[in-house]
Amino acid sequence: MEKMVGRVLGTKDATPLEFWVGVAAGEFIQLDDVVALKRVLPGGEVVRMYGTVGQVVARHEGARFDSDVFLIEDGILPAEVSEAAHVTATRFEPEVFVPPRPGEPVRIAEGDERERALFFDQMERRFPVGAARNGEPLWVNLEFLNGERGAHVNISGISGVATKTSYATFLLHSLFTSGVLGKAAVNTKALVFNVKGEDLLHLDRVNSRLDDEARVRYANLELPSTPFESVAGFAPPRLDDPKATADVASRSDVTSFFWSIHEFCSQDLLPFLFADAEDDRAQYTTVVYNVMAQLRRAEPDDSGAAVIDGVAMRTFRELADLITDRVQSEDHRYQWAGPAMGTGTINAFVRRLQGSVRHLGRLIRSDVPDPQRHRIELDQSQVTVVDLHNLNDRAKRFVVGVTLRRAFDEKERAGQSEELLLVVLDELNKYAPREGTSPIKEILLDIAERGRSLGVILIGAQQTASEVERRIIANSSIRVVGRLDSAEAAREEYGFLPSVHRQRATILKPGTMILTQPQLPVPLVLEFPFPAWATRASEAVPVLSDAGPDDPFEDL
Amino acid sequence: MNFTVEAWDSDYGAPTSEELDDASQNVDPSVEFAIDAWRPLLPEVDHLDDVLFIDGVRRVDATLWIDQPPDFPGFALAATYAAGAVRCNDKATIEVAEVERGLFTSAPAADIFTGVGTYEVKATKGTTSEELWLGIQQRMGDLEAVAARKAGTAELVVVDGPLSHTRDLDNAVGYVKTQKVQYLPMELASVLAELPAGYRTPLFLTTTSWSRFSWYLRLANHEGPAGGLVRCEIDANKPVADAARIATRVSATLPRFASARHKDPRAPQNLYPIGGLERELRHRLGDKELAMRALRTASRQTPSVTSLDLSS
Repeated sequence: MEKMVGRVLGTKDATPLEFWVGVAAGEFIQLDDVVALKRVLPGGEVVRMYGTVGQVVARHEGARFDSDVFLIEDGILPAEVSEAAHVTATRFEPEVFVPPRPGEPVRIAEGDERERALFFDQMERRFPVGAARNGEPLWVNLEFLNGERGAHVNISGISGVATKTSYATFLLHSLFTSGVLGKAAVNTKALVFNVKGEDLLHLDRVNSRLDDEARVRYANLELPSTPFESVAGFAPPRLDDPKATADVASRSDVTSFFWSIHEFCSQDLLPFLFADAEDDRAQYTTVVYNVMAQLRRAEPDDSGAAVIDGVAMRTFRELADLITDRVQSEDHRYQWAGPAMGTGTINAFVRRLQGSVRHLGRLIRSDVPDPQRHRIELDQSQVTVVDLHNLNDRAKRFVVGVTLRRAFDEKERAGQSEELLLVVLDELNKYAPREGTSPIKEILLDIAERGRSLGVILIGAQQTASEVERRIIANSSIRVVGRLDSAEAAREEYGFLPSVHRQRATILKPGTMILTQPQLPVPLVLEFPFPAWATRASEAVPVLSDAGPDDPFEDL
Repeated sequence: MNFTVEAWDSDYGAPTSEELDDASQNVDPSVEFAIDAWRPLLPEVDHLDDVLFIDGVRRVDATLWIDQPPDFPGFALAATYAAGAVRCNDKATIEVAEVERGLFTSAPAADIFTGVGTYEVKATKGTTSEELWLGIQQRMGDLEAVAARKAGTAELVVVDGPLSHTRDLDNAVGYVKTQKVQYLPMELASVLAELPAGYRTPLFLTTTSWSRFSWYLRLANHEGPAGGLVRCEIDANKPVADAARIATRVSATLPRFASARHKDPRAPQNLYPIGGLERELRHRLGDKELAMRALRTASRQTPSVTSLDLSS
């Protein structure tokens, strides 16, 4: 016989959607508890009901004034403490939506009952996304991530305490190692953009701060407590370095990435240079697209340089100077800038183009041998990390836009939606702001709206969902919220959270998230284990060869 | 014109009548002090730590007419009454709450079974409504005695109202909130009128149907002629010195429980524990409308009870 923890209250309305439970003497109910109860219909049919606890209240019964509490505690006024829990119904079996009867005994759902209450029993392909407070795993239905019935994850939260990136990498780890992807796991790739420090360049290293307690938490979720197995790191070349060594201090095996001048010309990459919100409103957009059309004529030479009108260009500065000359000269202006372009508009374009040379010179170049080596290739390893952190905003947008476009195009060509491409991108508000349009925003919208059928899954994150394009958030089946600022939590973008959860979002501690998925009518509050992989250089366990003995056979 | 506003809510009347029945001929006010030595006494002792409060509530659910052909139908009251006990030590706990339902009448009647409970026949002396009410009052008193016995012993048992039903209880004190009878001779009236808050009067012995020691206590300063004034009584089967000691201890204990004006319509005389107990007991009486409906339903099923149906 299961233990009763309370009974349905009759002093507050009990409805099929929500009801209150009076807590029995000597028992307690806490937030996020999963409860079960039943009701016998007049015909004898038993309706089983399940729900989760969203709020618990305690009050003095018999007290009428605030000051009565002192009389009660002094032993002068008789009163009882009563506790009641608010339950949001999750599931009815069978689906006869009758309210529970006041007085029905309520018990904590455990084991199979808990699985049923949270619809976990209906998830054929599921992967763990964290643990409930009692340590039991919480699951997400893969069908709502891989595009079958839905796709994309969106994570919101204050930076620093919301641990958005850690959670995104935890989701990747769970997808790759839980076995949920089956054979497709081998060819499922992740493209991770690193925006803070050199943090994510160490995903393949063991986290030195991982303790036994965290290992147990991984074991409870049936996940290995290991770092990512196959990681390739790409970083921009150092500024003004003719050898184009990667601009990374914390490890040496990171490849530098850049695009050849010919790629820049032939693949229409120029618009990605003008992806600011202000660029969108400006007249010179027409100039950008006219110049882009002209650049397509460029011929390649052996080194990847672009030959235009017989002149080979090896650096971005040379290219920018050529473009400047063409749009300003009387002879070429009509063709390059477009008909009837005012000098002011052309000068505005030139100012921005020349302004970007300093920042993009290291990313668009043909002055280094063997340029193929410096291409971001996603099929090299399971996880590809592209470092953006020491680029300025214009360069960041360029790299994200161009990389995503290429990845998306390749996926579109391959037409293999079974093998997913998971894109992790923080600071979505920078790339897909609510206002305006830009080439990057269009790519992201394309991924959000069409990526589902192509197997391109966006795991996006931002501090404030209210600043991100609505359609991107709307297309995310799985929404996750970490600690929120209280003004932000009140915005309509978080309407999917009941008010109690919004309130809780303002006090969540690092490592705790609130997750909603389409199959469950209530959000899940979950804790995810401390990353088993290094999330910054200082956490990485030193590689043995760095500190090994000089000669292990010395004594022999 | 000068006037004061009575502290009690007007729905409850006043704690004193405009004309008191004179009962001073049965009173001996000189048991503790000679009449000319009467003065307010400050109880300078510690209060008691384990106090039991006993009280009851009653409610008439419906007026019934019991068929007794060929005579005119008999008058009856269906009433629900309850009694309970609160123990106040470190915390205040309702230890006992007893509820009974009764059919009060002198006509030949049978128990009525309803959806809310059984109204057992309680015979009364007469048929007038005053006599029926008196019957209810007595049964409630009996139930209070039952509740008091169930609650067990305490350093002090405060019984709301006169001690008539419970005078054989150990440490029992009757607690009378309203003053309808004048026990003291006229020359002592000024001592009573000028009694300061927290003081008690000397004991006086009353010998009517039974003998008891009484004293007045001013719980707190409130407006009106009997503002904050209560009368306490204990059984007289003890030496005067013991009775005086008890009176001092009780007087030191009770002001602590006096209610604040904004929290109780009969402040300060209606003590907090008693107010809390009454609320709980009223709650336990159940819903009156529901009782009324249950009685109506029962009347249609039981041929002997009708609600003014004179056709048969």
